[in-house]
Amino acid sequence: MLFFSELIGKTVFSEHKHKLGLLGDIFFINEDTPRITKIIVSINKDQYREIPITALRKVNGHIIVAQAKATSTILNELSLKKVLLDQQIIDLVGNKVVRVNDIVIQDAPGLTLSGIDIGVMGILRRIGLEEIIQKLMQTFHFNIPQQFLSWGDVSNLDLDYGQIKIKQREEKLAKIHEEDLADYLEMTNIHNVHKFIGTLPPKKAAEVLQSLTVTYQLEVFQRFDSIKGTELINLIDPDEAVDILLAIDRERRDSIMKLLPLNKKQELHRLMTFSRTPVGNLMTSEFFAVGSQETSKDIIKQIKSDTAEYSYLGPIYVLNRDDQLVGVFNLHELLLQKADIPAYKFMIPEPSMVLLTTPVEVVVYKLLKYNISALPVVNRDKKILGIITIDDVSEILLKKIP
Amino acid sequence: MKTIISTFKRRFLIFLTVFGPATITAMADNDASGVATYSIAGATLGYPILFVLFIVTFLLGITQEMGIRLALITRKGLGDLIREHYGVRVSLFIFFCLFIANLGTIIANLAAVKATSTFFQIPALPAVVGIVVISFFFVTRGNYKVNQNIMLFVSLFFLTYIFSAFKAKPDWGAALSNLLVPHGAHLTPEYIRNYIIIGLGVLGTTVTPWGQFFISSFAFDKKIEKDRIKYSQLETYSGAFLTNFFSFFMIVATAATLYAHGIPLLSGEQASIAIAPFAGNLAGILFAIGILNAGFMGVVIVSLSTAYAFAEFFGISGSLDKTFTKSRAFYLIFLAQLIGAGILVLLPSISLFHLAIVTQALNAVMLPIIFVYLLKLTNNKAIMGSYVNNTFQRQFGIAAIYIISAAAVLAVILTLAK
Repeated sequence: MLFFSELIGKTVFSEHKHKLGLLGDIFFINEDTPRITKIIVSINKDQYREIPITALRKVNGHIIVAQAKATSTILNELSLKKVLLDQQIIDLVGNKVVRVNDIVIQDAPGLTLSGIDIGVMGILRRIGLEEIIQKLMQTFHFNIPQQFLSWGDVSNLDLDYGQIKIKQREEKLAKIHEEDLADYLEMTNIHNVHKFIGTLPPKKAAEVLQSLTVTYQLEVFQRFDSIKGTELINLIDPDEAVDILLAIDRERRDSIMKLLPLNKKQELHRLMTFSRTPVGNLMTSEFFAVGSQETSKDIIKQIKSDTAEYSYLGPIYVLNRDDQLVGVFNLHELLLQKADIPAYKFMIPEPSMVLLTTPVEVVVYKLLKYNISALPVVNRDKKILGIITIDDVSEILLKKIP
Repeated sequence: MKTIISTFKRRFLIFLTVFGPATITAMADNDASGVATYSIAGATLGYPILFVLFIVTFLLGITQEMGIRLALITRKGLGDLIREHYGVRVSLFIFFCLFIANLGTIIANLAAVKATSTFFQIPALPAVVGIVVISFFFVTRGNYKVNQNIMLFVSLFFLTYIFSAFKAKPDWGAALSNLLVPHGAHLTPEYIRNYIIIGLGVLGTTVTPWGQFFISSFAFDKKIEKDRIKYSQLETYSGAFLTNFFSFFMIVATAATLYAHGIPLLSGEQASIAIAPFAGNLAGILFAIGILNAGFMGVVIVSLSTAYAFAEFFGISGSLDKTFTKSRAFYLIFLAQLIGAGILVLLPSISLFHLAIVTQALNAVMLPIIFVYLLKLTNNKAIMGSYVNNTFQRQFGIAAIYIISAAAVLAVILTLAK
């Protein structure tokens, strides 16, 4: 998680450590998941260069970009500095709410905008006083709450006309915590997706469904009738399909299976039946999780004191105030941080996770696909029950070798 | 003939629909600290200071016109535009300065009320608390239309200065000729020094930082349509003329009495007591009523301008037509200023005289800074379209910035060197 204020004005280097200029602006596509498309590097007062985001190599510390050709303008592309930063936010009925003080950028998997900082901390960050004030507040045990708006609450349509309009009335506006931004964005997108999924081409709908974390996949899926459900199951990856099918109730599963074309039905049936080992039997409860507000310094201290007995320490999970899984990071990422950075700033939001009903084969597939050493098992409320490591499933892997 | 009259009648009616913001802003420039400054100017310098007033009238008219044009074309206030075009750093800096300067101006107004209340044998505490409470209910309870009309009505009390001036039996020929060419004073170094310092004071109390913010916010709050811009422009000029028309009589009243008899005026609030022996008791009473009235208007409008500016810089809802719960932060800023100033003015250990000097210096230093942004915005064709500043306005603006900056620096140096 990055703030726009942390990027703007930073020096941009080429891969050969050659100074190109200062980061002046960022362009993004105005859609439900607003992807960043290019950065603008100002060379001097009148000269600037557009660099496509694909050429971006590194954002933390220095910004490093590779050689790239100039980009063409993309439809719906907007300047973050012109249309968002410092602009007025209004509610559904046109009341002024607040101004955009800063913008939250998530870097998983590509750079996207996830929220708008509307709090006092955003203003302090812009003028470079955030750290000092925060330390001062900590000594007095006082806390200035951070306030964010999720991108999911911003109306894309109005932004095209230069207005930042939220979809609610001011009174009903959800001001959310930084660690929940990505999660909330996903959730609000689901509501939109669900509303429009009827109008989306089935292929696109399946694509959207597949990109969601497993708990949300279920939530969306529950709302479709069997016919639409079957259409989607038919289009998404078999392992994801099995995961969904095994999590829903039996009656519904059977009715969908009945409607599926024969070859698909056979494939899914095979996947579902050879999964005899419940995930719960393989899962270990030896994992390490921290609160999203805890700083890197404190986390390292905790690891030293609490994990001495562990036989294995894999990824570290980040929980929000309701103990729901919202992020993950590994030890390497932790060690790279400065002492006072809270976990939500460097975690990877919305990690992949599995359910108790997920077939072990799907778990193995996911571990290999994402190249990770462990996967968290969650209940439907996104609370961690345990983890499954590569070790735990190694026997199953061995059996596959003839 | 009939059509000419009916066209005129129609135009006059349209003028009435836009009438208000510019006149009220201009009238509030004659707040209690303004009256005090004019009184001192007249008493210390005599008629020649009227020349400064003459120039300041044009400066006021032209800058206020830029402010109202900016608001009507962009449908935004000056605070909105500064934040959107120059970012949060500049906005915070300007708001901070504006807050302090306005707090000083409100204190100066309450101090004038406090001093004048003794003229009527009212104790200071109930007078100050009374004004604060009335101001608060006035703003939170009323809506835009009611408040505007009360303020316009209250402006009529400025007529009292005309009576005071006539009672003082001034030399009208000298007064009018000094508007164009300053003459008739004995030019000692002391006189020239005072002329610069007090002259800047006259400028600083008439053309104010808060006035630049207030006119755009108030015009925006009135929701004047863009196609009536000509009428609003006309109002800014007539408002600038009207406010300094009254200032003229204030200066004349003290110049004809105190300056003519060589009686120094240490603080402006004492003017009503001081002129009474020369112009008669009635003139003194009218002058005192004028100050009380000006104090009320100054307190309300200057604290309102801080609240408007805050709402614009930080994007919260702020309008006289919104209820207290809807625009809570807007009204709270307004109230905080009133109460803060009320407490400070009642503290006996605070030197009001020093405070007034610091306030005026801050206002004078801020003015060119705000002009720079006002000018940058109104010179920007992308923002103003065909209503962008013309060559005269651009050059006049730049010249004004240089002259005010130079005068401000000079006045600060002269004050410190004393």
